[in-house]
Amino acid sequence: MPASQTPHPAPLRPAFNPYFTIGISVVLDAAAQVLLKIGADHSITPGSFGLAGLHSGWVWLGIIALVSSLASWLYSLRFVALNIAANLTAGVHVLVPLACWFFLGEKINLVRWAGIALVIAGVFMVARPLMKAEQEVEEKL
Amino acid sequence: MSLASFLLTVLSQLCMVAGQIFLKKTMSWPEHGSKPWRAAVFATGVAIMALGFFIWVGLMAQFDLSYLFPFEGLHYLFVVIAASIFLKERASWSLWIGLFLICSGVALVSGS
Repeated sequence: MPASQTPHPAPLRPAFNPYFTIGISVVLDAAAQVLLKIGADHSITPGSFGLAGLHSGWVWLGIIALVSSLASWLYSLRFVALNIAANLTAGVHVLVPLACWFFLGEKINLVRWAGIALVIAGVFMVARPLMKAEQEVEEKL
Repeated sequence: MSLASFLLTVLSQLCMVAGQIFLKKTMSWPEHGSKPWRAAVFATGVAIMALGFFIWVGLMAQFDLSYLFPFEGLHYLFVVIAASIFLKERASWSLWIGLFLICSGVALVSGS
């Protein structure tokens, strides 16, 4: 398990462009949400715990996308300044509703679009100071 | 969204925030720290995250994704609460405006 090895210092030059990997991470996160939603609709009785989702291949694809997104994110954070990464976190709140409308055919009314727009603006404002705070909390614990 | 579903959404987000803190903690483990203790922290982080994940996927079966996903923005609220408990830091006014925007957005979405 990689987590039990001692962390090695970051190489001077990243193997991949970190801005590319951070973009990949955001796209994979959005894709994971859509895959999980398809899987949930196929396998889970509404109103129950999601464990039955493991019967669906879509959910497993979603899990793979989610883990890859996290790996790509953690990789990027070693090279990209925190504030640049933070500014991109609102991106997933842009991509998910668009994917819902385009791939899932969800009908999104004006009130919901307005709410989504407020959430995007809010996440954009708070992500940077909060990622800093999160790091400080982790260092303190 | 019913109160029960809302509380489950909040619980799911809380699990994600807590699980992430546990996992990141094991990644920056001191070199001479206890190995079994580290494994225990790692396992706890994975378990908490899995719980949050399955609650979230369960909720997905019940709601449109475009309806449910904006609630994910609420997890920033918990980070602020955690930060204010552990750091005793005063949040800036722009942070409060951002959180206010997220909460108003979620309120609008929940009524849509």
